[in-house]
Amino acid sequence: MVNIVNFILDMFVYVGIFGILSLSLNLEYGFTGLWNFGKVAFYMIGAYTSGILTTLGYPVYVGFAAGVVVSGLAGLMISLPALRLREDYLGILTLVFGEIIRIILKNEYWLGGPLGIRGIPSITPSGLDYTTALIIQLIAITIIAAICYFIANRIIHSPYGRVIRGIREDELATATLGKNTFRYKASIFSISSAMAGVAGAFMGQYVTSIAPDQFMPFISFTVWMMVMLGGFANIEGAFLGALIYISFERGARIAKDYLLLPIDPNNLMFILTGLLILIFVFFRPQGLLKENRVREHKGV
Amino acid sequence: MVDGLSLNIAQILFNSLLTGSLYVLAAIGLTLTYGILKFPNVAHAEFITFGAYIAYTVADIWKLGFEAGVLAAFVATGLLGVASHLFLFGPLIRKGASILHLTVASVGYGIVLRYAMQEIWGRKDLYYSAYYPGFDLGPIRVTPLWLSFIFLAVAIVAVFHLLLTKTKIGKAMRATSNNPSLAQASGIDTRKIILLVWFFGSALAGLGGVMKASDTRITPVLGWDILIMSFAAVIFGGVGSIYGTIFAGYILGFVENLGVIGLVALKLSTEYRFLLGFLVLVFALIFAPQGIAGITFKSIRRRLSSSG
Amino acid sequence: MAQILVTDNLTKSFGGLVAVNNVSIQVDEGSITGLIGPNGSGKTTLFNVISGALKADSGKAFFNGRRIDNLPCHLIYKAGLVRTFQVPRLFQKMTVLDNMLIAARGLVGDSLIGTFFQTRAWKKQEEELVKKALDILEMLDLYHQRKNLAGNLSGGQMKLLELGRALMSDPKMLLLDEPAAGVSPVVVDKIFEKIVELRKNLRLTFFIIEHRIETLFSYTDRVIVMFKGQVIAEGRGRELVENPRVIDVYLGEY
Repeated sequence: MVNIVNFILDMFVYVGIFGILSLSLNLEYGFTGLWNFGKVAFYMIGAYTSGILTTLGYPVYVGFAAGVVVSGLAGLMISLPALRLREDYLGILTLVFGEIIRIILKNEYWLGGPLGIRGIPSITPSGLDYTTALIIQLIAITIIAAICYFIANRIIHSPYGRVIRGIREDELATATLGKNTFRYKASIFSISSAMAGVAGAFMGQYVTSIAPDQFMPFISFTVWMMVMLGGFANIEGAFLGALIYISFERGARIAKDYLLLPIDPNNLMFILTGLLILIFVFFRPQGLLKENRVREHKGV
Repeated sequence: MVDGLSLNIAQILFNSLLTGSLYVLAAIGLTLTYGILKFPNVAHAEFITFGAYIAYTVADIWKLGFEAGVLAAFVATGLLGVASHLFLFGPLIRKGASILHLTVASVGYGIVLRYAMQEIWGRKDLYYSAYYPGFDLGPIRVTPLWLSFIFLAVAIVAVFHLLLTKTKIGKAMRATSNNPSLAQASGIDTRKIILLVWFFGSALAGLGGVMKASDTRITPVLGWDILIMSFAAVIFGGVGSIYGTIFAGYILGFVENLGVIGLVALKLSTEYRFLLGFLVLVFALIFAPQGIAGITFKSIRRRLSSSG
Repeated sequence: MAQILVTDNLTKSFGGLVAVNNVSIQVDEGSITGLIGPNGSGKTTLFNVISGALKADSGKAFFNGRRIDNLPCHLIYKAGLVRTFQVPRLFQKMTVLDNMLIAARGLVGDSLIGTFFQTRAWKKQEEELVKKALDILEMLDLYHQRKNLAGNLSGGQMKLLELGRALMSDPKMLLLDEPAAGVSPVVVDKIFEKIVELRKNLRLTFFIIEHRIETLFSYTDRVIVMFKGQVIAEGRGRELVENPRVIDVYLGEY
């Protein structure tokens, strides 16, 4: 019985983490039209920054804060060359960026090397009963996710949000209307990267050890799939997509123990996931939920 | 190392030719589909892997010999490419799918392919039983396999060149690659051309997979290891340009092999040699997005037109 | 009268084609100036260069005495020089009102910092902007469409919305690229009467590309004629009709 409870708690922690990642991608692509295929890079930077600092003895909140700041700055730094590119090139560049970071982390032993960083202190004091620790973790990620949700909500219902939607629809027209579109794209990219960073920092202390090969491009792709499932340009959809994908994945894992299949369930799960994506691309390309409707102005 | 520097250079050039040939084989199909259909096909990585596995099955499971394996890889991967367009990308395009959706579809498709292959052939490393011992050709160490692959790659490049310049189909291919809608408007059966492009492009990718796998080993992520370098060759060479991709592929091969020497000298990990290629890609994306083809051919054309 | 817009040998080529060839013009402040010429004479390219959408190959441009040819288009907009497009570039999936609001200048909420830390300020500003937008919409008879998606408007309404959007930023000069193209004759007159009204009430300067010669000649103070990238004539409408070069250019076209 306890096992099931732990299983579900653990699952929802991941829904929280990946929900934040999906939210950040949704802000970039769903609302602004930026193709970021390198989400894993900022996730990784956040995890490593916080992991390294906390294993060096700094308190967890310092680690988290640093993770946010460093990821955000990395996002800003990448913006400079990247955001002038046309969309598909931006996608390729961000993908390559993630791989470059991963290869560097894998080969630089002072940054952990192929074995990565181990013994990352978690926010829960040691000696706690496992289920209680999970509950605390779940509460923590929910608070962080709620903050991110609040930030995203404020952004999309503001004049700033209006401009980024304009950029998404017609960047030249938006620029012609007096908006420095580069500045907008760079700032949304930075804040999304910072969000991905906090998700990474949290994940690091949750699993207590991180290694470069945990951060393959596949994770960026997974986040894209979640965004597509939940619905582009819908911030609730980001969490919904994460929930659907992760439930699916976990469900398949359980099936392995209870069903006798001729096919390795692990492979089957991924094949079904891929098929799910293809089905969505064919029949529901905009995702499950429609775009968030912007609040109406008073007295209009 | 005997003879120090001179042995070095010859071997480096040979290795560059080998690596470059691999990238060219892997990238030609990618540049063609990217140029004509306008989306980056992420599943291309799995085509590369597929070729390697098919060759294994034919050569080592059915025991028909390595040559038969190579041929089978060519044909089977080509057919896989055609099927991909007939059943997935073609219908999506007709439905009006955006470039992003085609890209995401290729991601999902790649996942299906990869895990299907993993299901069929397992996750463990596989090796071809064919063994061709190396020998010395002057100052360079070679194996018959390497020589064959280089020869094959060069022959294919030559055949392609003749195809593109001398035959009607080839010219139609170039026209479609340059401007698909214009080509269709001038009466070219672009649908047939596109299927041909998928066949040959994927078939070559399959060959590339066999080539890489015969040098290292067959694994489910074989294609992924080469994919980013393939994109580097495509973009650095100029999307849609076969000549550009060929040129870029060999340059990347050279950069990588020369880079290993540099890295060793600088006492850095040789794993970073891939980073060199990635950096070339980043450079190309930012400073030369139209690629070599765009720069050289455009400037040649301009010089011709202003003097005329 | 002061010259609000001055260009000095502006040139812009595309490959081998010289679209704008050493164009030097002056537009008087408060005037309604026309720009005509057969298709391909470079009129829209000239607008693109002046408004900053394209960068000139050589030459200079000055707006209100300030050099603008080296500025990005959003800064030119902020300086008060606004252009509309021949085919309206509205945000089809946004409402008419949102299209208006996005065009406003100097928003507190334009940055992330402002969005989060100056909430009360931008919310108040939004209310004021909404009022202003609704006033302009009313003036253009678009008030009843304010909640409709811009993509659902008729051609003529889209043109009016383009104009309305341009007015949101309190511009000093408007570059209108065929403001009445593809619109019924009644609406054409309506649009041009609005332009005359705006010139009078808001003291705006208008520089207008138009194909309908009669319309242009009846509403403008002065007309500039372009052909193959060069200015071939300028003056009052009535005089230009008798200008042999102008007749040549247009007869050649027909």
